[in-house]
Amino acid sequence: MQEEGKLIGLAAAGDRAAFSELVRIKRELVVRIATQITGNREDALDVAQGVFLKLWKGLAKFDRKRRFDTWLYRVTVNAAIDSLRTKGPRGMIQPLPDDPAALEIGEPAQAQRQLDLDELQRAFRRLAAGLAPKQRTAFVLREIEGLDTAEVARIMNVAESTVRNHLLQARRLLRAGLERDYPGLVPTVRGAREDGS
Amino acid sequence: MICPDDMNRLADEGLSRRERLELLDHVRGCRRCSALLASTDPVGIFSLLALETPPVDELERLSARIDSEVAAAPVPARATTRWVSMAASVLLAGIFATYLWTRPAVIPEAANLRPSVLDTLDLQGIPTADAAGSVEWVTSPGTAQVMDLSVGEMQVVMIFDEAMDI
Repeated sequence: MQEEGKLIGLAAAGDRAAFSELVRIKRELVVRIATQITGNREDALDVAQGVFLKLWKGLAKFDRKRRFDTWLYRVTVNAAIDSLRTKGPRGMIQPLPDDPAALEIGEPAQAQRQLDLDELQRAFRRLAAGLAPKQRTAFVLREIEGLDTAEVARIMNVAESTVRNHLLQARRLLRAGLERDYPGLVPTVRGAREDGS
Repeated sequence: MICPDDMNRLADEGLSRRERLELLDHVRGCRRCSALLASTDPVGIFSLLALETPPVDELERLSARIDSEVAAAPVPARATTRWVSMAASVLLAGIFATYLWTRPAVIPEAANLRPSVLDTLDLQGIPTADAAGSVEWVTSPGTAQVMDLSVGEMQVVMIFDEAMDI
């Protein structure tokens, strides 16, 4: 696999094979971010396709003194937010199950060893539908992607204090939703051993 | 991986992506750590979603779609070509601006800015009669002034009646 910087240079010069390789390297990142922001996999794939086509057209003017990933994140975030605003929170508003016990993972003796990521994803999509797009974006980039606050600020083109404010609001709303609608999402542990069993 | 001493590492902005995913993978499979995370930072449980990855077959289909569109799309103009075009446009604009700035201005003679009266006419009036024989004046008798409103080489003469109507 060619070094990323070299691939970017070749792709910027119009090398389609190099661009295809660049897409393979970056596609998971783009789809991941777009999925968490739009809340819908199909929309995320459409967003990703648009992002990479935009990349193809704009790579020639990309200033290589800047970080490529920051630019890619920014283009993805903007496209995902546009999709969210245009199509609305499709597939994210799901009714709670009639049986509250279905929200709980189960009694400690019968609970699954691992947290169910699908369950967690459904809960996040439902609760995050109540966040403003920028709050949701800040939360996804900081808490899920694990980017530092400065990087999130660069991607969103806002001040770090603005990012912290978005995060504060997002966390407050999500926490209230978790306590209200998903009290049993995470098992409690009684006498669990250090090794997790 | 054994349980970390300090779950606050998850909030550590210095963790590499690999280190973070390893830590999250442990938390996901460890009841103690996941419960500890939920009790200290309930919302932090969503950080486990970093472990979600899109299915490979979907990513392959995405790549195929993009490859197909890129194959049909033109190769974008290189930055250097665009810079040359922009520089040429700026140069042409500069040459045109210089021409406009340096050409002599046409200033009308001061005398021509003040209209002068060339003549005064006595208007007879234009009568018209209807079928019954009664007369009506289409235009009233009176006087009108012929005024020179020429500016520079442009000659303009207008006739105004007493009401200053044309």
